[in-house]
Amino acid sequence: MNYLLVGRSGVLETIIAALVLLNGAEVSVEDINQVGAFADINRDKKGEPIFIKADQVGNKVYTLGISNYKLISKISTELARVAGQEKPNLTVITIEIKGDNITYYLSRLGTLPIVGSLFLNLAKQRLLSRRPQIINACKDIVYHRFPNNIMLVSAKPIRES
Amino acid sequence: MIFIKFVYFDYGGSHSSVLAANIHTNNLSKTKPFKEELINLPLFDKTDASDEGEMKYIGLDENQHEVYLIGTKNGNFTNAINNITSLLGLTNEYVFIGTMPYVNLILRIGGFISRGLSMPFIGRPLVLAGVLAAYPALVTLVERVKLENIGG
Repeated sequence: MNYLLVGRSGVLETIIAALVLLNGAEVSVEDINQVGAFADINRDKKGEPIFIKADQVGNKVYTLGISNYKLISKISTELARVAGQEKPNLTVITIEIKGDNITYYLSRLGTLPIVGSLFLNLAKQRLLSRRPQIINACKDIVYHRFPNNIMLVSAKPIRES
Repeated sequence: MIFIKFVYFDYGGSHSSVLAANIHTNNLSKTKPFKEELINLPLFDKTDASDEGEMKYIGLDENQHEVYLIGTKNGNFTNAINNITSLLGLTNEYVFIGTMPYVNLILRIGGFISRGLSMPFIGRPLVLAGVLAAYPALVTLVERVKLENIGG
């Protein structure tokens, strides 16, 4: 099964959500920093899913940042329906967390010449300082989506991007 | 023979994608249509927010390929939708064609007023002027899509 976590950005809150999905509630700052795509705005702008990790049974977790993120789940369902795919190989989870807009726009200012890195660092710091809130919000989203604990195997990832 | 699903997409799924999909299925001819023909198309300038993200079946083309349209609320969506299709394992099923590059300023403004502000009595005349101006380019687009994918 492929899991696609979609949000306004694919390299900020969605990365934490991906780690919550893979590791459960234990997501440290080191875990986040170890993800190569974390706060990488250039990868975010490509509009392509970013592979985060796979678990021991081969479930793959991706993130995607896109402006129409609220529609992605519906579009994915529609594509599977029209193709007659009864059990789609993709689960889309929409990640929307209060306050993520500010972090997103700070990260976008990271593309500015000269002062860009300052804004990018601010975005990173803001995200990491809000880590407990974001993890709780992500847990709510994931548990809401998988009420019977049909989550990924809680194990250390075997592959990294 | 492999049957492909052609999916035309634009921001709202109301105007340029409706025209392109109907040109593809030969519901509209290659010459500029009358305004009445456009207004009578089932989806033309009639969709609302609940239709966004929903695939609308338009019909079959001359080679029995299915033609759909979808409003994606994102004109620059080709990369993402191709990748989502790949994650679903459906790469060979679909061909996606964005029609936003063919949307001119008049159509953009008219579409916003008609669908975005729900004032078709003001927006529709602009929409009609805009789509008729864009029509030849949409015909060329559809011809190119057919040529590239099914050899005309």
